[in-house]
Amino acid sequence: MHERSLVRGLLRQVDQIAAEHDEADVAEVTVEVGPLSGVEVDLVKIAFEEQCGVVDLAKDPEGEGSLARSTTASTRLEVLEVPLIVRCTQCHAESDLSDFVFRCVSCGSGEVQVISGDEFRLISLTLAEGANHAR
Amino acid sequence: MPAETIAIDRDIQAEKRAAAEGLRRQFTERGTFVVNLVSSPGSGKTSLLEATCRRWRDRWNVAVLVGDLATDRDAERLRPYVAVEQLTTGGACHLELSLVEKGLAKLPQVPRDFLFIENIGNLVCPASHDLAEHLRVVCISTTEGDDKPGKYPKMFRTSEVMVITKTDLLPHVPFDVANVTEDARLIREDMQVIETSAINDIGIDAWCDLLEQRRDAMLAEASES
Ligand SMILES: Nc1nc2c(ncn2[C@@H]2O[C@H](COP(=O)(O)OP(=O)(O)OP(=O)(O)O)[C@@H](O)[C@H]2O)c(=O)[nH]1
Ligand SMILES: [Mg+2]
Ligand SMILES: [Zn+2]
Repeated sequence: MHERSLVRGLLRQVDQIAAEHDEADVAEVTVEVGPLSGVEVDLVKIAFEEQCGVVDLAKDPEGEGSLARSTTASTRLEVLEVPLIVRCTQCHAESDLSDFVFRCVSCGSGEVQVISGDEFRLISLTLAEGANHAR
Repeated sequence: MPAETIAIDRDIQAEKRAAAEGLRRQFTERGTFVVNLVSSPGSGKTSLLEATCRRWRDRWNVAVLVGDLATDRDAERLRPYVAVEQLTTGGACHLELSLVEKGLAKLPQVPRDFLFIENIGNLVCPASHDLAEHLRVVCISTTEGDDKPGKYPKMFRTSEVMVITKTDLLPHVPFDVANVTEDARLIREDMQVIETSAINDIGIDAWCDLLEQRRDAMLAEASES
């Protein structure tokens, strides 16, 4: 399971962004996950719960003390699942794939490029009303 | 202060991707062709590397970084033939670029021609980690079933070459080379397929030729730009 380290990277970025916004606490984090991202949605949710609000050095496996200062145990994670879509390099049709058979639905060609479905993106942050962790 | 939503829209792994891209460029400039070998545990990655490095001992300047959760057994197997450094992940199920960088720093010298990175035996997590390689190779042994590509789509989508290992066992196992090839090519139509038996030294020539051709192509492309 590599989701733990991915979430660690995510929370580091969340902290940075919160720091640029008056050290506000974060109420909600919205991410986008594609079926080809290599990221399991359930595992991301578990890792997020584990790590949110963890500032205790002893609980931080990589010993990076400033971890997750802007999140709290009540910070929510919203996961938007995006579809796997490929574009055919032969006929340029776009196919919405329901499984991992990389074929153009229009002409059957296997020369297709992924245009959506491999993303793990930070979409937005909602700051908590009035809360602030600068102390 | 009222609740405020900040729109971000960024790739969470952008920094890591850029770091891998940068290191790959350095390897390209140096002429070092980097291969990331992935497979499930015990598919024969180390055996394939033993056969390769034995053959290339006097031909190419090669080094190997070999990942393992624990122990340096694989490194010890390769040491007679090649400069090798063990990357112990301490439990992590995949190699990350930072570990590769540490391993590189420990090697007596950066290899001139080829660098092999043997990943942790796992068909899931290593698929998502760019180790600055030029070529990702997935090994599948004849003992693990010919239905694996479809079950691990990301790994097979991101690999350009599939090495079918332990072909000496084909008479004893229900494994169809045509089936596994077809399954892999549903995920990646241009998958290159090579069959090897490390213990009988079969297919190692074709494998070595492929790597030399790929390195030549990298050098040619680099000198054009
Ligand atoms: N019959 C046969 N056995 C092989 C062949 N290649 C490897 N083996 C055996 O398969 C077992 C695993 O081989 P390794 O080379 O250690 O596999 P690996 O992928 O490096 O394993 P991990 O690093 O632990 O994931 C060993 O017992 C090898 O002797 C082969 O071509 N034929
Ligand atoms: Mg090994
Ligand atoms: Zn088409």
